[in-house]
Amino acid sequence: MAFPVATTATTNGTTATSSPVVNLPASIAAGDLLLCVFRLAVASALTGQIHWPADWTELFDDSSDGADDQMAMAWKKADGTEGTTMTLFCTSGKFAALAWRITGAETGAAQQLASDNFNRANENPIAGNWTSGTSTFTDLQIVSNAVRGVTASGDGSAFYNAITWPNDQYSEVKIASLAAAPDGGPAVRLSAADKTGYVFSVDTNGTEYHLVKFVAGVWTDLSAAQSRTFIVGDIVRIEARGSSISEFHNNVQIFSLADASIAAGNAGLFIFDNSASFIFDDWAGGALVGNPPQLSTVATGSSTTPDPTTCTPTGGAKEYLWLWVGGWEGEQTSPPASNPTNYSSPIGANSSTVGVVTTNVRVAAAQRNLIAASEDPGSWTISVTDDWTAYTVAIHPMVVPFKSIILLNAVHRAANW
Amino acid sequence: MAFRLYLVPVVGTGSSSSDARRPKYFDAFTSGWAANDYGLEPHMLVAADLSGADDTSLTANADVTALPFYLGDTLTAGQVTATQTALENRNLPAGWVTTAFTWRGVVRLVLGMFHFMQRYHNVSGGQRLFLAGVDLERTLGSLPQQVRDDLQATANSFGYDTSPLTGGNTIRQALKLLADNWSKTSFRIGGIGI
Repeated sequence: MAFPVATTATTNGTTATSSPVVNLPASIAAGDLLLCVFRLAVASALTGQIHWPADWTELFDDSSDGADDQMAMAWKKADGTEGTTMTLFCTSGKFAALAWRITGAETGAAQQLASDNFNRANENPIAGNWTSGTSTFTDLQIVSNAVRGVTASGDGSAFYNAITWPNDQYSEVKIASLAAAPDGGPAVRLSAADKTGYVFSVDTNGTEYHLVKFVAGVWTDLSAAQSRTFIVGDIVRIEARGSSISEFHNNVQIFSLADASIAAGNAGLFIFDNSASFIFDDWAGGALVGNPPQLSTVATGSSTTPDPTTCTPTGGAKEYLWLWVGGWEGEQTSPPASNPTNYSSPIGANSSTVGVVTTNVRVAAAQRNLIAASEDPGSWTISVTDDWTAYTVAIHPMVVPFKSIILLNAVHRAANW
Repeated sequence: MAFRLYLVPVVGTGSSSSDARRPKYFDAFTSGWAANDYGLEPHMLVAADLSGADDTSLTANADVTALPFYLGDTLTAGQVTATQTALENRNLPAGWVTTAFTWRGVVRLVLGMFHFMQRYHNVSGGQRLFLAGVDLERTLGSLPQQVRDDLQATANSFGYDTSPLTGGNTIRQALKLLADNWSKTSFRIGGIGI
C-alpha cells in the first residue's frame, strides 16, 4: 500500500443560484476517487437538500450547526468522462465548494453479483433462482417478461436465491409500468424465514416514495410519502451498508436513514397488489465492497476554532490520507491562516463578502498522511466567530491485489536478472 | 422553518400499508419526515422540517417532546430534569443525562438504545420487551429465559461485550451499557446528522 495522493479544485459561488457549477480537478482518470464538499448559504428542505449528479454518493447532507446553511459531501469512483465541472441542484443561494481527485484510494464501489431480465416463459410464482412468498409475504410472478404481484392487496415479495448475499448489499430494478393504488420496488435484507426486509417503495402512480421496513411481519414507515416524479424506464435502487439504508433514483441518492433492525438477508423485490399495470423489469443486485471515504461524527459549534472529532475508520492502522474538512457561515479570511497542527496543503473557497454576513459561507480543508487506526486533528483558527461544522475524513489506501504483487515481482526480477 | 427532532408516540398496528406504524400527528403535515423507532415500543424519534404553524401545532400536544433546533449546546439543569422525565416516561433510562452532555450527545445515546431495541424486535421474532409488568427496574435474571436469550442474541449480533452484565443487573443498566457503544457513532435521520 501507499498513501493516496490528492489534487484539488475550488469554487467560489459568489452569485446565488439553484444550479451551482462546481469545478473539478484536472486530469481525472477512470478509477480515481472524486470527493466534493459543498456549503450553501441557505438551508434546504428535507427532500430538497443538496442534489448531486448521477453516480455521486452522498456522505452527509446536514444543517445541524447554528447557521441557516446546508453543508454536504459526496464521492464518486471516476469513469474518466466527468469533464472539468459538475452541476448540483439546491435551494438558491451563494455557496463554496472544494473538490478532490484522489489516486491510489479505495472507492467502496458496488459490485454486481446477480441480475435477471425475466425474459422467459410466464412463471407463477416466480421460481428457479428466486424464492417467492416467504412467510406471510405473498408471491410475485413473471408475466410477459416482467415481474408483478400475484395477490390482490397482498404484500408480495421474492428474493434471488442463487448466491449467498453479503450483508452490505444493493438491489435495483427498472420501472416498467406505474399505477395509482399499488406500491413497491427493490428490497434488501429480505429474510428467508420471516416477513422481514427493507423496501424502496414507489407509490401513487410514481409521484411519491417511502422507505419501509418489515420486521417479523410488522410494516413500519421510516419516511413520509415524499414527493418525487418517477417514470417508466427509471431505475430505483436501495442500498444497505451497515445500519445505513439509502435510496437512489437513477443513481442519485434521494434519502438515507440509520436503522439497525435487520443486519443480513437477501436482495430482491417487493410489490403490493397484483395490478397488471404495476410492473418491474431488469433487476440487478450486488455487494457494496471496499471502503468509501469515512467520516468522524459531525462536530458543530460557534467560535473561531472549528475542531472536528476523532475518525476511526474500519480496517485498523493503514496508510490513510486524512482530511480536515470544515465549513462555516460568514466572511472570514479564506482559507484560514496557517494550518491545523500536523496538516498541510490548506485550501479554501468562499462566497465573497458581498451582502449580509449571514448570506456568505466558507469551506476549507487540509491534509495529512499518517499510518494510524484513528485520528483527531486539532482546531483551525478562523478570523471571525461564526457557526461551523467540521469533519475528519479518512481516505483508505488502495489494496494492491496479491496477483498484481506477484506480477510486479516477476517484472522486477526479470529486470535484475 | 428548520429541521427539528421530536419524540412522538407511534400510531398504526403495522398490519398493512394503510395501517403502517408511523409517527402520531404527522399524517396532518405536508412536510417530509424521517423516523427512528424504539423497536416495537410505541415511541419514535422524528426529524422534520415543519412550517412554523405545524411546529406550534405539534408541540402543543402533551405527548410530544420537541428538542432544540440546535443540538450543539449543553443542557441546563432544568433541561436535564425535563429530559430525564421525558425519557423515563418512555422506558428510556435517563439517569445518565447531566449538564455535561450536549443535546447531540444525548440523542446519540438515545438512538443507541433505539437501535438495540430495533434489532431486538427482529431477533425476538416480533416481541416487545416492555410488556405488562416489565419496566426499567426489572432485573435481567427475572425475565423469562426466552427474553434473556433474545437480549443476549441481540447484543451478540452487534458484537457487544456483555460480560459486565449479570442476572442481577436491571434493564436500565443493560440498555445504558449497550447504548454506550453508539456514543461515538454518527446517525443520519433525514436532514439531520447526529
